[in-house]
Amino acid sequence: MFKKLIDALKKRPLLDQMISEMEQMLAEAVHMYRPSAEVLTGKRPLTEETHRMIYETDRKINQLQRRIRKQLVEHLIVAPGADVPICLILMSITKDAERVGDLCKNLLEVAEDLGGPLDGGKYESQFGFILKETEGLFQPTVEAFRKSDKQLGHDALEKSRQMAKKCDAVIEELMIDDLPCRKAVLFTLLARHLKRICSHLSNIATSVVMPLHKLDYFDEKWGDIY
Amino acid sequence: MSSSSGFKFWAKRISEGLILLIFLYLFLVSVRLLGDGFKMFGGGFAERLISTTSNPLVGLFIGILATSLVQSSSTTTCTVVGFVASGILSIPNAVPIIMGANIGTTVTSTFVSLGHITRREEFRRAMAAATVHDFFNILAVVVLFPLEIATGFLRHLAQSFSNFLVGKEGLTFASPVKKIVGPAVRQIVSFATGLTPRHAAVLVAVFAVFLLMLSLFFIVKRTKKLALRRAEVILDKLIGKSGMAGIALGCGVTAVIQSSSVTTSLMVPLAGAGIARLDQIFPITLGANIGTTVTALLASLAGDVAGLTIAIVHLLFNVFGILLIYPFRPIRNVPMAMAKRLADIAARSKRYAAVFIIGMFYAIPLLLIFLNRLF
Repeated sequence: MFKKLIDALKKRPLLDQMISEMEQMLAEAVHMYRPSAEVLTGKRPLTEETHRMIYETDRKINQLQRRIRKQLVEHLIVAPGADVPICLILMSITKDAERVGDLCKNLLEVAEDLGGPLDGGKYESQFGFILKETEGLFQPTVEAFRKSDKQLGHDALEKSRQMAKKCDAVIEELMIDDLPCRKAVLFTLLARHLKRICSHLSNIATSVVMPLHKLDYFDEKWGDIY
Repeated sequence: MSSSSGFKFWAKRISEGLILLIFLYLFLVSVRLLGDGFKMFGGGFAERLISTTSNPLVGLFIGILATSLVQSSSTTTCTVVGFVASGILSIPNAVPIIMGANIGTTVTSTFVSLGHITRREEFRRAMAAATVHDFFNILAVVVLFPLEIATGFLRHLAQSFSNFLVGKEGLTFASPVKKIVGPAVRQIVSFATGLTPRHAAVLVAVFAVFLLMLSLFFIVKRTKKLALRRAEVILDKLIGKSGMAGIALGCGVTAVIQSSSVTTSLMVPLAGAGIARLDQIFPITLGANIGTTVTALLASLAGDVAGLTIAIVHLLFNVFGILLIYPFRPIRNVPMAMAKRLADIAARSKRYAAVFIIGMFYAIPLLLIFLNRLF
């Protein structure tokens, strides 16, 4: 449905602009996620510059969201009709993209509270894996959205589900562990933030594979309906 | 783009352009037919029309009422152009009707604002955006109407412009458009032969009005479809930029769509949604006032120099209105303050919105016209 809508709307400049700005939101989110993850894994030092850059990018994402919302209202007022579903989809997924930005900022806050990279023994490798795999989720989600590719959307959904399970497994381990309180709280927050990032990315992916009313709720049996 | 889809694309564009040209032709035919059709009523009709509109206030309220009823200033102004061109209405008598049409056309956007009535804050903003156009046009009439009655400066200036455009020999100028629409007009009039003169006149006049409304409806519908898709990007970029940009935007969009109601009615929900503020909407509605004069100018192509003169009066009235009110902040704030005040009152008690619409656009004009007939 989404692909047909996108094709039908190709000649609508404001809508094209909104779709491209949505892609830009996701691209900016990657620019926030990568440095945060690098600080957590020790590949990048925790500096004022990184902090400033991430907060600046978050503001840029928020501005893009407000801009898309404004354009959505303008578009629906000027040219109402067939564009209502895609506009509602955009309204919903820009919220997800904005939340991803916020959560990337939260990842850096965890790193700042930890005072630098993760030093979590057995958790270090688990988080390292989740951080790497989650970064790998952004590109397929952007691609699935850009190309309106159902298969890519399915792949992104499946991967985000796996990551969410891994995050839950870490939290369960943390609950029975005897880590110092501060560390346990920060690790739990980290796992929670990563799970939320995956969930919001999967919400964006559902827009490619699910009908509008099923947005955010993936159900296999809806995968191939016409 | 493949060659077959490229062919389809161009075939669609060419057919859309041709359909638009056909309706434009029918529009010009209808304007000419209006004059010719009403002329068939004989001298008595023209005398009655002139005596009724000889009171400028009555002419003004006829303009308000007629436009509020058909919800299209273009229908009123084009009818006036047709009447003036055929000589059944004089230019001095036509000017107040044109001014009234400017006020009457704002009823559509005021109606649109009622769509927000269930959400008080939204309604307050939408109502203010709709009525700022009403109050501006009322103010422009309050200033320019007495001036015009006293000096006739608008019609004199318009006369000079039309003389400049078509030359002093314009009185006998044979417009090529007139030549093109002539055969169709004669053909339509010939259908009424065999009827009594009065029945023939009624038939032609009714058909002319129907054709004018139909052609305008389709022209607006098609240009709206073609233009708005492109205009939304410009709208997005220009709203709130500057007063001049707003005026240019309103003028451009309206001139292409041929309907100020469409432009102003688009602004009302934008204001209701909080996307654009009242001071950002205001210049766009002023631009719409200028843009809408294109329709009467177009209609004047089917007539003579008198038709062109009254169409220029419409343009000059709107330009002077803007020049008098918009450049000076304290004066510019007056219609905005009035619109805000009315919107505040209407948001608190919705019946005041109904009182304003019924009173301003229907009851007062009707009462004045009725009283004039009595006394």
